[in-house]
Amino acid sequence: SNASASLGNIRNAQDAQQIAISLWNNYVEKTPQRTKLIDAFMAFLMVVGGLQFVYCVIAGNYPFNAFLAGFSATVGQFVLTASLRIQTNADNENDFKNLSQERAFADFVFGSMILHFFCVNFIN
Amino acid sequence: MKSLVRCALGALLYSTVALAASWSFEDASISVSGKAAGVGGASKEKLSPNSPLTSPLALPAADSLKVILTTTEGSTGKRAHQAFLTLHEPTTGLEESFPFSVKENGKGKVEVTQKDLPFQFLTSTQPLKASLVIASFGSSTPYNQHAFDLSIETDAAAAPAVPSPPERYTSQPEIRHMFKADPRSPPAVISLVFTLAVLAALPALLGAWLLLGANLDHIGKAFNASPVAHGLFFGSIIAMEGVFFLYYTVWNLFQALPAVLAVGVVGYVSGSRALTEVQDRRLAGER
Repeated sequence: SNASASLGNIRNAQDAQQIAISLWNNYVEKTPQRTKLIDAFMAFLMVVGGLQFVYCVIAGNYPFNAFLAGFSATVGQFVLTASLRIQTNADNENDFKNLSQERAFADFVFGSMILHFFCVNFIN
Repeated sequence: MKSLVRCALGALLYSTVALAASWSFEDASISVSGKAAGVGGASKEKLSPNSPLTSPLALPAADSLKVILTTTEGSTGKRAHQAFLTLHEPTTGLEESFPFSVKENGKGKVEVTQKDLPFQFLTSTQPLKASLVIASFGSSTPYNQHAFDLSIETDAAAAPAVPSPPERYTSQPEIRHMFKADPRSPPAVISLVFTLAVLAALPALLGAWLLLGANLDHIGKAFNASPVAHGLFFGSIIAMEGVFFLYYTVWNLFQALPAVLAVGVVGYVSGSRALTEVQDRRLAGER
């Protein structure tokens, strides 16, 4: 029974690995190219936000409002990009019949400008 | 008729004055008991309103003096508003009063130990004179009569009673306060490292976009179709970020807001044109 239990664990680990790999392959094949561009931007935002957070943890949070401004800039931009992704994803066409992709992009730019203004204001 | 009423009123008033009640007490007893003595060890005496006790009571150091009575107005037990056991020191004339805790039916008690007494009582050479004071609102005559004498037995072995030092208001010793150090910015090296890391993420993003097949080759086509719109749109986005930079460095809000408005209007108009051109290319299947 020990052998079968360890075999079961190995099988579970292999299953998890296989699930992850097939998930990745599915993503690469099925996702439209423009959505992948947006995903690359979101990954970039996560990296930048993570770097700021690590810096805050290591080097202290003085001045705190500067950290908040920078971090919330990445977070807010991530949220705006996520909504752009939802609105322009080809799989969601049915929900956004009245919204052209260019209009979604224009809203994205407008929201980003407002976010940048508030963040620049908050850095002080 | 009028004279009859007047007579009746006069009789009523006279009777009220004649029958004016006076405060007193009944069922009074006084006991001195120590903690270790138990029930039977207490010395108990009965008090009566009209005659004080003849021999003085002794209050040893650790014992407590307890007085129990029932305040009465006239002949009915009633709660008096003020009921005190007042101790009076004959040589100095110092007085201290201890209030009874009285219930609605008039039953009250008070307990006094040597700890409650001011130090002048403890060092007194003569017995203290204890009197009971009972009074309240209304027109009943109050009661204030000498009830018994109390001699304080000091404990020879205990430390002598000393008065607390008098309160003197002078300047206090100087306070030296160490203020917390101001927060400082982290070392420039760390900030530089992280800034470079963030800046390095940007070409990584551009590279990922190129890898994914971003259509940079359409730039020529787009600018040929509508150069003004695309140029103004892209330029207005850059200009907006430039306005934010100037707002951060030099300008104040009121200088920045008109610039934001102007650039925003340009961007909106040019943007709608530019994005229409993009939409044409998308609908034509080129994206």
